[in-house]
Amino acid sequence: MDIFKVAGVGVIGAVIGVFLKHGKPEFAIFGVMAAGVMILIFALYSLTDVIGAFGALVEKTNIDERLFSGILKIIGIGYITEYSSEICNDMNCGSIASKIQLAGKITVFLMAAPVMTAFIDIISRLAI
Amino acid sequence: MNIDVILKIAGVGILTAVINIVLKKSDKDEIATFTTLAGLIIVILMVIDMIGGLFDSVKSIFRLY
Repeated sequence: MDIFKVAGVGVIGAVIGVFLKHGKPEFAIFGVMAAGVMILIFALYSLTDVIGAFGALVEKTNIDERLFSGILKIIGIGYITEYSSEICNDMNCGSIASKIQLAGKITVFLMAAPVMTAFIDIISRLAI
Repeated sequence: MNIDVILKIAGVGILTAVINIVLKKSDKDEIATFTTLAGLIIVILMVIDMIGGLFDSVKSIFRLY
């Protein structure tokens, strides 16, 4: 993953964010969001082959598929929640950011329940 | 993913600021608000398109259906 590309995009996004904040504050948020989206997409595409490798590993050791996809979902939700709450923090609306994080925590908790049960099934099978 | 989107957003922002100043000097304030609105809408459409792409790729990669 080309860290120089990410650093360049980030710095340009920050410069444009600050620059626009002086002239037109409404546009500053969009510059920052665009830079954030580009950096996230860079990072995301480097994740795909790692997830593929883990998927193959899960199939080989025939662990319960729900476990792995549950964990993936949780990572995805964390990804999006963190992105949006940081954008709100940037535009100093901390209250909205904390609401988004609360909603993210609740969703992750709902997602974690089936993973937990699958995990306990595996352990009980091992124990007998 | 290339960088011109951010520069395009900055360009629209600066252009709107300049047009606003010009319109305010020739005391046509209501048109100034319309130009700001138009610039904002253009930028919103661009950014919404990018965020839609991001959410689609996150959905497909993390199997979040």
